[in-house]
Amino acid sequence: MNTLYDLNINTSAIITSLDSSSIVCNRLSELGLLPGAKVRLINKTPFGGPVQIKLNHSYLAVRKEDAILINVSI
Amino acid sequence: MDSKITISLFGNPNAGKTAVFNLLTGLNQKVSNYPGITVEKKISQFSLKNNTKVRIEDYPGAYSLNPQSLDEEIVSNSCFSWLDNNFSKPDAIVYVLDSSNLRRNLFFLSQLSSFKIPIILLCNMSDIVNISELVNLKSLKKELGLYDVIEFSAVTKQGLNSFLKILEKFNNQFSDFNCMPITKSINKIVAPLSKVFKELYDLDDDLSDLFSILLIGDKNRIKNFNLDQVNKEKVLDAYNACFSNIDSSMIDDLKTIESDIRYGYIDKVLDLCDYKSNINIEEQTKSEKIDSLLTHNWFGPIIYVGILYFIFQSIFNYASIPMDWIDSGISIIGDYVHNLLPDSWFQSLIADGIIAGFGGIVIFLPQILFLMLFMILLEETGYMTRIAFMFDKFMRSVGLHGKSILPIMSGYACAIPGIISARTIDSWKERLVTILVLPLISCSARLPVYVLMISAFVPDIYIYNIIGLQGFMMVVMYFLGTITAFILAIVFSKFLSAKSNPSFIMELPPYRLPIIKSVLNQLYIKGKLFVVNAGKIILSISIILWFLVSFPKNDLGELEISTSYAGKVGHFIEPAIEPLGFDWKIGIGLITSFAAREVVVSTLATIYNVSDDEGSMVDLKNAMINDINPKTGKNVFNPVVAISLMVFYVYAAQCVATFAVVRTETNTWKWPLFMIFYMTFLAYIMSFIIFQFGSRFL
Repeated sequence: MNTLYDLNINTSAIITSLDSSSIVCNRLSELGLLPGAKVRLINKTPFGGPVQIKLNHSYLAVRKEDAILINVSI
Repeated sequence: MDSKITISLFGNPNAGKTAVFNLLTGLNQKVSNYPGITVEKKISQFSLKNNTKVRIEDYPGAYSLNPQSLDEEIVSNSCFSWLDNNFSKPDAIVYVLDSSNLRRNLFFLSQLSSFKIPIILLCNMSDIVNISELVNLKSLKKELGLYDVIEFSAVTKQGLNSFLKILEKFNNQFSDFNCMPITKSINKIVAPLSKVFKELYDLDDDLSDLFSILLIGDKNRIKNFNLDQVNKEKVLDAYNACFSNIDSSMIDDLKTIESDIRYGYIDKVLDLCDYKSNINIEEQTKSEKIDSLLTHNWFGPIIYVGILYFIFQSIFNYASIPMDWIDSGISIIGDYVHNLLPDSWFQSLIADGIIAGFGGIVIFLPQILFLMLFMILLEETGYMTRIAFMFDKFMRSVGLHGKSILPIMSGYACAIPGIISARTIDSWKERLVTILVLPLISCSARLPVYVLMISAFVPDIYIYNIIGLQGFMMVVMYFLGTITAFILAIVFSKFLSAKSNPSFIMELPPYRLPIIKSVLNQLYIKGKLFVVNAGKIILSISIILWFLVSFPKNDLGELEISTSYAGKVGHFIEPAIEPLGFDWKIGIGLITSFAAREVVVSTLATIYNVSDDEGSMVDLKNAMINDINPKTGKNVFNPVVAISLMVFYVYAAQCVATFAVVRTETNTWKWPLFMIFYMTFLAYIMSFIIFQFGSRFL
């Protein structure tokens, strides 16, 4: 299974599930990162830094630790 | 009839709330909020054409009533306070919505609508997005039970007049509310909690459901309810009862239950409003193209350093023009007063005390405004969030947080707003470390000290014809404070035992051209704040200081400054600061600097003016260059002393207001006292090293 962090730059994918064992998924889901949502990876910062993603019309910066909680299918 | 209504501004971060607030209130904002007082919400007032007074409360941006940062906690606490106290409720909520992000912005709105307070929806950014083409606003108003919906633009002022008209005719009997219905299956889960909330607060179904769902999502939220022990246990019992109805495999899913049902509801509402989603996330927008350069893995940081360098060089180079005007203006006024008033103690107080002291600071206003302008521009364009994004990894490696970048950058203007803006940092530990190191970032109050010392004692030459030595020296001072802040951040975070919260989710708003009016507005308010606050301190200190340096007169009735009261104090501490290269006059400045750093410049100005017998104002720079120490026969100031003094100011704990704010923000005296201790220690050691080492080469 792929996570959001594994996506290549400029590829889009559909969110399939959130790892709900983490409390972070609360905020992720409030921002609209829910199963069924389509996202695109815009940019990855080097050395395992945060990624920039596009969801609807907004851009979000998400840390690697949080991005791997989001499972996607291409 | 004069009536009064209270409106509260809510909205997601980056929806343009600040611009709307500035547009509505103009320059009427109360600016006396700091130092020392924690600003929870900005409050202002304006009058409508029909003389209705509108009190407007501006809250920090929030994504939801589930707080993740202190800023959001302020928002949710205010809403929770409406439970016990009907009086604190506003007459209307004005919800500022980012039209390009309709769906997500409706999330928080749908929570607020449960309170049954009339909501006026401002669909902001109509200059960018034509929202009436995307969605039927009339149906939206009906489906969400809103008081009214307006297409709005803080840039073009579209919708401003209709908004003011709505307020003029505001009807507080509005009752066509509509909020998210709860499905039966959810109702079954939250029923025990809902029942308790209904009894405790006398709530209707919708609001008690809202609070039940909030609590189910995160048990820790119980502290927001302000319950006594008995009721708290009642609520906790009900909370546990809710969970007894659920299969244990579902418990983790409850964390996202609110988002699930709320977005489900929003999508249904949007369907009924003929929502045409024009989303094509494959399309590369202009903003993304800019990002591909500005947040590029290698070019991004290089460009950032270039921007910083440009800012500090231009502060030094271009601000000198208005500074010369102010300089000549002040000496004209001073000389005029000298000639106008008869030779008396009063003339001396006005000219040598107040005008010299105040003029010593006003002259640096252009540079301070320049710096503030750049900071506002970086924030308004959206670039500031990119800096946080790019440097999050680095900031974490030094024990800080990506979001620490914003407080640190605003720390270059003034530590106080920086310390307050650290509230956006989600985790307590990173927030505390940010606050602890923030006063090491050279603020604009150090600028006068640097500028005075550099322009007097650093030669105006260019290295290889491009790097100005004076500007370079200035960058070195800023760099010194910044690098020390990072090093100490590592140290402090190693010793702090608090747990850190690793989450970092931040919106990067599309790049926008700043709204000139909003920028100038903020600049005016920040500038005014600086002048008023610094002015009060400088005025009082100038008067006291003038007295202390002017008395007592010696036997001949003449003034001998070194035997004056201030001179005695200066001489008393001179042995302690002599190893740093400072004489008793600087010593007086160090003491007065405890009120505010820039005061040292006006202190020196007052000392040199009082000691000067001529009738005209002295030029502080020349007076310092020509000052000879009678004991040694050498110059009091030389480049090494100047650098030592600047380094002292890089580190020293001197601004009382800063520590008062740290006290309110951390809720204890422990941290401000710790800061005063470590900063004073650093300042002494570093200046000592510089002077002792540097003097060998002179």
